[in-house]
Order: sequence, then C-alpha cells, then structure tokens
Amino acid sequence: MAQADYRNALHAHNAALEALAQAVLRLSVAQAQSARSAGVSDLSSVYEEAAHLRENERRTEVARLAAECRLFEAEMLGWEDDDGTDMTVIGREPAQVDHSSGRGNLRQAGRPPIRLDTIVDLAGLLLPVGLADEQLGDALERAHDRLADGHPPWQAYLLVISNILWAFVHAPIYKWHENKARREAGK
Amino acid sequence: MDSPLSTKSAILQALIQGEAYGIEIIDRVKERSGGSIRLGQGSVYPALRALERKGFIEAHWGEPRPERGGRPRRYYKLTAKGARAATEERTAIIGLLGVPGVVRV
Repeated sequence: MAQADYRNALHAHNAALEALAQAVLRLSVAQAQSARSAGVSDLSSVYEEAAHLRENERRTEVARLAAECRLFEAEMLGWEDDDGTDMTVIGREPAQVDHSSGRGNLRQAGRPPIRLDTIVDLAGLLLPVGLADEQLGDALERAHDRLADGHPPWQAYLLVISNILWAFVHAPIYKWHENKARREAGK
Repeated sequence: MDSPLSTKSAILQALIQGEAYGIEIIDRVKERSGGSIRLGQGSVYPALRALERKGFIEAHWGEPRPERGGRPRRYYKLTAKGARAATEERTAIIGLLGVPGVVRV
C-alpha cells in the first residue's frame, strides 16, 4: 500500500474512531450504531464493550483508544518517502484492539473482571434502600473515580467491600431510626 | 479521624460552604484541613443521620447517576439551627486557638 493511501486510511480510521468514541461518550447507542455503520465495522468489539461500560469507564477507554491512534499517527507523519516512490508498509498496522476477548480488553484497561456494580447491587438487595443508595452509591462513585485515575482494581474492591460491611453493621440502627421516625410521623 | 475535632463538628464546618453529598463532605474536610483531618466513610454517614435527626442539617435526594449504578446522591445542607451552631462552634475554636483579632464572648 502506498504511504499516502495508508495515511489516508489511517486518518479515516482515526476520524471514525473519534466519532464512535464521541457517540459512545454521549451514551447514545443509536449514535454509536450510526458511527459504526459509517465504516467502523472492524471496531465492533470495541463498540460492544464500550456500550456496556459506565460513563467513567468509557471516558478512560475512549482516552486510551484515542491516545493509541494519535501516537500511531504521529509516528506515521514522521516517516519520509525520500525518493518519491510508493512506500509499502510491512508489519505496521493502525492501532488495534484485541478483539479476541472482551474480558482481556477489560483487564488490559486495568479494570476488574467482575463488575463492582454487581457486588453493590447484590448487597443492596439485603440493605435498606436509603442506606444502599447513599453509602454504597458513594462508595461505587469513589471506586469508579479511583479506577479512572488509574488506581489498581483491588483498591476499588477493597473500598466497596469495606463500605458494604459498614453498611451491614449500620443497617439495624438505620432501620430502627427509620421505624421510629415513621411511628412518630404516624402519631 | 485522628483529630480532637469530632466528625459532627467537621461536617458542620464543611457544610458552611454550601450543600454537599457524602464523599464531597469528606473531600472538603480533607482539603480544608490540608489533609490532616480525614473522615472515614464508615463514620460520616451515621454522623450525618444523627445531625439530620437533631435538626442541624436537612437532606434531599438528587438525580440518579450512572456512575453510582443508577443511584441518586443524597445532598445535605445546614438548617438555620445548624448554621447557628456551626458559626458558634467556629468562633469557639478560633477563640480557643487564640487567633489575634477575634473577640471572645
């Protein structure tokens, strides 16, 4: 492939990826699908994965993909075609994402293989709604922030699990006060 | 919290700046104390509920948020009684520390 063609292809690939990234960021599945149908068929696994990620996780993933593309583009623009002839690129590919395994991609991006939300949702089934929404919601938000900041996943797990334990310890007192307030309101 | 200031006092002082939710209060206290006062998440929520029951603060739920798994934030703000208590406490602490220019009542 000629260098100019390859560069054009890379630009198109990069632009399509950015469009996809922006669409996914706006949490619009419909827009992401249209970006995908506009010629990003080879990014289907990225789309599938991104569609399942929450906002903060998406931002991290989008930043990673965009950085990969920019880095590769910068490398490409630095290449010379001295004699004016076509230059065939051998063994160099545009930024690729591992399509073989969604779980592999998650691990590569530094995210825990089990979703924190699932753990919190399960704990929330056994806890008073207000307590789960507030304390576990805050813990989940902070855990996602830490993951987005590049902290290791075990820290996010530890944060969420310690908060779940605390919530279970506080749950009887919370429930007691809740019932008391309800009784007083009924009088 | 490794400080003579109680969790409830720290929360009241943090809420003088305006309404906030749980982790925002923790961050505010940490930031304002230069990192020397760190409230634990396990102690903040019981303290917030105790302050709410005593009428020092009032709370309302925000909108559900995706980063919280669709759960809403619970925002707290000082009531008039809480604002008075926070101001008196602040004056007392400053007076106790002997900061020049502060009139002790």
